[in-house]
Amino acid sequence: MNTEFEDRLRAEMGRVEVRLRPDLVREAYHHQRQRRTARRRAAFAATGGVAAVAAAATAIVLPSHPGARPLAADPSAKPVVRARPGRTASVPALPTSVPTSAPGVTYSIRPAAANVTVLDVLTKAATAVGSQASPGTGWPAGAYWHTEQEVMSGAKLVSTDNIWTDASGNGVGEGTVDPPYAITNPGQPLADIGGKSYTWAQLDALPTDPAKLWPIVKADEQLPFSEDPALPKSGQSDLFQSIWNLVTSEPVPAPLRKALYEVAAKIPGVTVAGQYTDSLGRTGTALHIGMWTMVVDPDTGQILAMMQAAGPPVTVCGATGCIQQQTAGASTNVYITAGWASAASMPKVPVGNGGAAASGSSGSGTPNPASVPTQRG
Amino acid sequence: MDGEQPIAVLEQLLADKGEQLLRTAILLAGSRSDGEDLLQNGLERVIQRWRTIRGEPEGYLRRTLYHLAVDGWRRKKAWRARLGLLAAPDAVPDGADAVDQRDRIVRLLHSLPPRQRTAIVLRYWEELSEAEAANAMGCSVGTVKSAVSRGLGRLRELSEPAHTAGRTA
Repeated sequence: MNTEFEDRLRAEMGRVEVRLRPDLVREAYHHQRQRRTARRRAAFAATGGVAAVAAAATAIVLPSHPGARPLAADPSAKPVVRARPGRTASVPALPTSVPTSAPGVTYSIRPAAANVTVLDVLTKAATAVGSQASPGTGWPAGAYWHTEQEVMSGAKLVSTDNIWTDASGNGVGEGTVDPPYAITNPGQPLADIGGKSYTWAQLDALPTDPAKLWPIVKADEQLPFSEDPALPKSGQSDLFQSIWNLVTSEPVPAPLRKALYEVAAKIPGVTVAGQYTDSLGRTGTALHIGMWTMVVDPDTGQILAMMQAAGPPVTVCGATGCIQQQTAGASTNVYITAGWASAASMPKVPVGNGGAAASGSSGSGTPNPASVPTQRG
Repeated sequence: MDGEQPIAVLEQLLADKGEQLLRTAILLAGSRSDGEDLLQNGLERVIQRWRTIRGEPEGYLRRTLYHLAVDGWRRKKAWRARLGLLAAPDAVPDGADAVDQRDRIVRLLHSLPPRQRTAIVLRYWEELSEAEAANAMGCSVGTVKSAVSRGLGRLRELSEPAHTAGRTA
């Protein structure tokens, strides 16, 4: 990494001049009161409220990290979204600082059959994946790799993100909150295995024999492997996460996909959490290690969702001191679709939305004319 | 809640750490006037939730700024404009945006999409780890990694035009 550049970035951030208005708090107070009054007046019907999913199943609490003590009733820990008149959906209350522990997050996970093992689940999924064709015919089989994913914070949908990227990492992103924006990537590979970066071409060159792939993948992991399955930030937990992140977000040829599933089955400490039904109503088997829970449909091999538990509280230091901060609640990614797409399927990027084409001064660093992100067929 | 308590506590907080908080907000928002607006929105949220906040309000306020920056803030702004209750923050005639021209980094950050900008500020200014930033942003570590990598690449490209021009055929 270019640490010199990053240091300069930090230094410049520190030099930004600020001038604090003395009446900011009082203004905020009055605005808040005005807003509350206006909200009461606004006669938008609350849409639906909460579909309180009281699944007829055992709800288990995934510990946010080992040593997390149970938290006294904390409004911020409730995975409930309340819709209020005049508002789309309230952001769940954020945790306060100086916590005594990180809250656990309750997912409704039904028990799996007692005799199901991680090896069973992933072997079955690998077989299903291996019998499928690589995405599209040939590889790469399209100009852009397109993924659609839901990002949830607690039980609240933050955004549905659509991302289109080409082999050089350039493309277009669009979210529920973000209007279309250009993604420009000056030559940095973006697919990670355990912290090691790969280009699409490098992925394609990886061995598809699990016995050969395993030592490579294990060496890619930057965090130390620990045989203690309870460690949330251990190498095997990070590796587990990065493999599924890769499989769900990048174009991985079918033979490599199969091998990655088989390799993931070798990671020590992974447990079967149970059966989980995602926000789209799809059911799969949840596998758990550290702060990660991954849901896979063993019959099709499709990765449905990945949940990240809240991390332990952290100490953050700024210019004038340090504070203890609670890491926010858990997040979930739900993987909706992934596949090849043409430039014609991408949304147009408005001028001034971070696009290389918008600035006009510097190219995106790619010689491929098909990757100009603002073109739409 | 009589309303005076949060005002007193928050005014003390801003007296102690206001500049630091405003700097973070400006970096997160990518402009001076939007940063002020973001901080004010954060304060409003803290006041609104005052009864449920336990412990120091600073941590709560920071988390709120992170969340608003990546998520609800612009939507809120649109909502606020629709109600026509408050003056548009950009209309403040104090020459704030002229000052932005002196702050190259603010200008550069402004050119990034919100998620990349937030990821960069959380990692390099607020010094959160990737996992912490992921939690704060409500996304996966992979998303943070790619947002940081893309954001850094873009910033480097913008701040070193000669270097990039040399590479571009």
